[in-house]
Amino acid sequence: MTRAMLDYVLPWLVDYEEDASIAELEGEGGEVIFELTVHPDDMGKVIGRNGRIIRSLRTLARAASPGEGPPVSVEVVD
Amino acid sequence: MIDPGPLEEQSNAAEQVFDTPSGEQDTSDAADAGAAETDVASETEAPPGADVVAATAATFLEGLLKAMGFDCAVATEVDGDTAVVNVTGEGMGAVIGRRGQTLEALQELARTAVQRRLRARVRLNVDVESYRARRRESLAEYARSMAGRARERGTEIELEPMSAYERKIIHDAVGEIEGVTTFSEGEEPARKVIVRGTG
Repeated sequence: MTRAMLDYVLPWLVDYEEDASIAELEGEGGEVIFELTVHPDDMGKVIGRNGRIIRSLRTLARAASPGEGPPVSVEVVD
Repeated sequence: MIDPGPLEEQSNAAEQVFDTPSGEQDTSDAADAGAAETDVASETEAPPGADVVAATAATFLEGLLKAMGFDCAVATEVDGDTAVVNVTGEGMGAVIGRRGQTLEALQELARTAVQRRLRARVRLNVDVESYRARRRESLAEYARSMAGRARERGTEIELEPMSAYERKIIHDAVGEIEGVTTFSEGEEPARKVIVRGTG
């Protein structure tokens, strides 16, 4: 559900939709890491002022993941 | 971090307009010049109507919550120049989150998504199961009782840390009462309202 949420939201936030992608990795502690790659000009849009957007995405990612599942994290990579 | 500029204004006057989109008031702060939202800030066309904002927000939220696995309904209304969207459905406690944290995130994303789509600043409030409306009422009641106590004793009462939205509710509720005044102190997220008896 977290993946579906991010797939849905990302196009709403960026200008260069074709340059946006999401990778799903497993962290050392077993957590699921979603890595967002976007056009350089869209980096600030996904992070938001003072990190507000990326923080909101993380909060919703937790709400979208089943309680008994592994922890999830969302990062923006360049 | 892309913008070290101040997010929270220092004066109560600034808090009176807390509900503009994402708290991003017009500002000449140089730090904002290179911020993420210049595409929005430079927009000069007539703003979209609140009905358009509400409809766009409803579209965004329906898709978002469906993607998150929630089965819910989205109702819209227009309150003056502000679009209000209320979400109802099963298991909405998870969408509200502890002390409304998830709801705050939902509103933040909805405002941003709608602003990007409409290319304009918007006034949008998102609620889930009328959580804000209910919280607003109980906060106002609490504020009035604290105001009564501060006035009686002629002292200051320091309230617990609150969000800008919640502090605004306190300022408004106490503002209607004679013999007491309110102001905010401290830094986010520990910023709190002080109720002072002036009688």
